[in-house]
Amino acid sequence: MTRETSKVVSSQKGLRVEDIENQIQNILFEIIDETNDRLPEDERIEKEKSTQLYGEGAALDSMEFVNFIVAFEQRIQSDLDVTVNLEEETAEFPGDGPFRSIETLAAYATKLIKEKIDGQ
Amino acid sequence: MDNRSHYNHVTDAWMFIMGDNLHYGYFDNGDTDLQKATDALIDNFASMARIDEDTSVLDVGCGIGGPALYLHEKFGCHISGISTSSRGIEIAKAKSKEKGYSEKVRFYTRDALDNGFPEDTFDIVWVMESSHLMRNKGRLFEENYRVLRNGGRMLLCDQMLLKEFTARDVLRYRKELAAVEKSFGKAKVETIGFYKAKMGERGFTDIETIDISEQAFPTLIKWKENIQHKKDSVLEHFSEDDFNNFILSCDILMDLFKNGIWGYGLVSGTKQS
Repeated sequence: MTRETSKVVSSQKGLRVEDIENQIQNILFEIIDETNDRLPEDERIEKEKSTQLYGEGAALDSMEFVNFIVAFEQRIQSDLDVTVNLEEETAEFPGDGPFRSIETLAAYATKLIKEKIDGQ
Repeated sequence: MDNRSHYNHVTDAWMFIMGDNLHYGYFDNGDTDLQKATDALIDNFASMARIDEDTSVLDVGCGIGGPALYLHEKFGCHISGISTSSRGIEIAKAKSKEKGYSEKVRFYTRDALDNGFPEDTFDIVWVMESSHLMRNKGRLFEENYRVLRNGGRMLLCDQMLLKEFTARDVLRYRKELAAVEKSFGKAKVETIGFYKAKMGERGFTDIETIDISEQAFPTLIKWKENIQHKKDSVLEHFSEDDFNNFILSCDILMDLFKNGIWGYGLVSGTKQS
């Protein structure tokens, strides 16, 4: 761990779950904005906690969903200095697991990040 | 690359790979000829409705006009074909003119989700392997329902999911899906059940679904053979990377078919207002 990274982790250790959750929520909404910039106006996804990201009838197609998750992992890395691999770390969930909606994804990512920060 | 640009890019190369019909075939009775199989798919698909010389058909996503010209030759019906690919429409118009069918078989560069035709215009809306390119299936069905006459029938065939493809599956197969998207365009593939439910929501009745994955599968083998046999001609329109990626995509789709994830379905329903 570099000295700079160590400082970030150290400063994150005191974060409350609510703080992380808010930060994650903001990141997800920003990624929705970026995604919507690439979508036709009438096919944009709603910036709501209940927005369905993937599955039958969801707004994103498969590759847009992949790009969304990759962007999310990168933002977690750059903003919180925590590395997560959501594909590996959701292995135990049946079906779409935490990927059902913005709300479920935010809750799961928050739990994962809190565990990683506290464990470092 | 959006799908309009994608199709303008691939159409000329695909004609060497797929022939006159840019769609899957229906391989039955040991038949191995791609042209016969793609015609057989049109025949099977057409059998889901009654078509004669007085029938008016809208072909949504008409490609280079192969199915429309075939249907006119077989039944004498009137056909309007639409596509967002200007290159496809250019080829389709030239073929129709060459065959002397321009009076009854016409092609237009138009968007399937806003086709510009008046309400109650067509007896049949024919959607052959174009729906997976449209994210908003509900809007597609709404538009098709609008232009159908009462009692008219929408026929739709396409690649479909045969079982749930979870979010984790998508992430696990991300490289494979990216390769397939690069060769075949941005797709939103749904289950046969989704199509049936969505059509029912819009008010279609007498909805019929048929899974023909087994009969469609050999198409991928033929496409892979054709691109390899006609490499020089294909490379006049494709880069080496496009060429190799197409072969990879055929292999990936074959695996998905074999694993019972990906397949091919026919769906039809009647407008009964």
